[in-house]
Amino acid sequence: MKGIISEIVVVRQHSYILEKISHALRKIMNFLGVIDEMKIFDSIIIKLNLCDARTPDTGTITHPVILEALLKILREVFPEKRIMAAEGDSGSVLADLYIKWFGFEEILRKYDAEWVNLLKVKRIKKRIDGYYFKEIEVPAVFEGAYFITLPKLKTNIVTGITASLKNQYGCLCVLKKNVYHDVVDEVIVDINLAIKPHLCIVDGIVGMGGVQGPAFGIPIPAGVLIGGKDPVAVDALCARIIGFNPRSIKHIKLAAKAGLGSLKYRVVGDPMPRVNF
Amino acid sequence: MIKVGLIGAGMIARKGHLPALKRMSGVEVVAVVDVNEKVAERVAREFSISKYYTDLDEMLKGEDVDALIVCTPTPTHYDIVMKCVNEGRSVLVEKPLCIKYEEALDIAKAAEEQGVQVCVVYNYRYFPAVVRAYRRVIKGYLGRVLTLNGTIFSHFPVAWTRATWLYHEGGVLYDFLPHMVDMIVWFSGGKPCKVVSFGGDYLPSGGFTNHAQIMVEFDNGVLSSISTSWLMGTQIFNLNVHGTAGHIFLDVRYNFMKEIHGTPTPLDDAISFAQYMVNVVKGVLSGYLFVGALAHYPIILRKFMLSLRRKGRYPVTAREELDRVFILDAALTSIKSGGRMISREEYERH
Repeated sequence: MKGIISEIVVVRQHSYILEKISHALRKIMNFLGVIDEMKIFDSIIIKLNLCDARTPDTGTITHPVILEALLKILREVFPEKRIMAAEGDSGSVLADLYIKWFGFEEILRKYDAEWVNLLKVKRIKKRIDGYYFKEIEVPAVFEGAYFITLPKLKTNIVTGITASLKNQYGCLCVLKKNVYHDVVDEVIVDINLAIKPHLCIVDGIVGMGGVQGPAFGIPIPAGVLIGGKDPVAVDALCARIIGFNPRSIKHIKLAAKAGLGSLKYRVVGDPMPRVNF
Repeated sequence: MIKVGLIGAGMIARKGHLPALKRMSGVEVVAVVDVNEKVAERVAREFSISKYYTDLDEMLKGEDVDALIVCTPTPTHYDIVMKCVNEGRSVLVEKPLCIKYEEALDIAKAAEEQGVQVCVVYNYRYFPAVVRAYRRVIKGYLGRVLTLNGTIFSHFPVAWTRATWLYHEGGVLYDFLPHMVDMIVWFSGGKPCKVVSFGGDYLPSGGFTNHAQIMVEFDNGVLSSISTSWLMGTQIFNLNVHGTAGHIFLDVRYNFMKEIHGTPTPLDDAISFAQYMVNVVKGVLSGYLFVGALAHYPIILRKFMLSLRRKGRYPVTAREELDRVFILDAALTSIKSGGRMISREEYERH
């Protein structure tokens, strides 16, 4: 994807108010023209970011209001389509419990969306030309589904940042995901080669900074929602917002090299936030 | 030779009890029981224990053990401890002894009838700073202790266990809080007689207590308040002991104690900061800070074994544990009733 300039939509949004977030998400989705693209898919799957037992106000996990706003838009357009929200168990993730504890369960019920624990569903093997894997197991629910990744904008002590690409790490079909921490950047790229998101929406309304991210860092009110179809470009912009050169973040650089997206982007919408992470 | 059986082969058994027991002379671990056969088998192999069981009754029938160490989830303690006591075996059980006050009372009575020991593990009270602070208090350096303020925050226990048994109604009250309750009971030197608590479920739909503020009045006039939570962004285990002649600040996790008399000067602050740093460096270099309260299992087990040989007194027996279980049980009752004051008399009447 060398030479391609991806378009990224930036919308400034400072609070988790349903109507305002719905408006911001509509702006992102309309600009990117994704609603039409979704029509040909049998289902839509939304990958949440529930990496630890921390409340949404800490900036650690997907805010339930973001999910609700997204489901509201999707249900209006697709009243009959199968819509799923997903996360996988891991060492510090008891996904089935977090869905209940943090208020997602009720939202899913309200919009007739399904909950999928990615570690408890059927898996399929995919052949990829990855950095670490040549064959990788992924949850079968991604097959034939339009895939929206819904991460937080955060620093990460292991990978530098966590945004669109890193969110798919939670889709690995193993419980102890830290077994890959020595090759984490390579594995992030590999899982994205197997299940690449069609749409990335990064929640930086309250992001996370400091050296204890992605779970115990400092909540940063960056006041921004970032949307794009190219996860590499979206993450390159996220890295810039956090204060990194995107080329210094190994998984972003490897992902661009693997053809998952472009490091070049053009920002449309609101100006980028200037905050200290 | 004291023959011991271990019930529950989880983390605390593997990292706390068994390494210490294996190093003790005059003690033999003859069997391990765990409902998960693979775990029981693995732990038996790892610690060279000759037999493993998945059923407690079978173990009690098959093995001639003098004492049992119970490391199972708290809600199971009552049934297991009662079974062991009724079989005439002494028991060392992880904190807290049980969930309900009447259960603790049953156990204490049964232990006295059977003439066996039932002792409870409180490993945080053995931090040298805590022991030093306690000695200062009982020697009267703080004058008369009037107030004990504790803060005990930890993250959800998901980092160390995927088990979900902790998320029962009592939740955070039965996780780390018992250690703080033990300390306030110990430092107060009195008997808790009234408890008021606020808090409960601060998640949209948790279904268990995850944040609480507890106030306790002791029969000797000492007042105490404890903040506990699974929701906070930091891990804290601090106790402030306020007396008429001074104040002790204890940072239990960092094994640090600061004693203040009068109004602290900047020099006092500088000295205490230097002491804190020396303490942290010493803790890091010795590895003590990383092992934490697990380092105290050899002391606990030695005290328990001595008490079995009638050569010493174990600090928290079932009878003494009534005070601690009363506070925990009353705190939950008070939360459920919207902050009603619960008196010890009320519990004892029932």
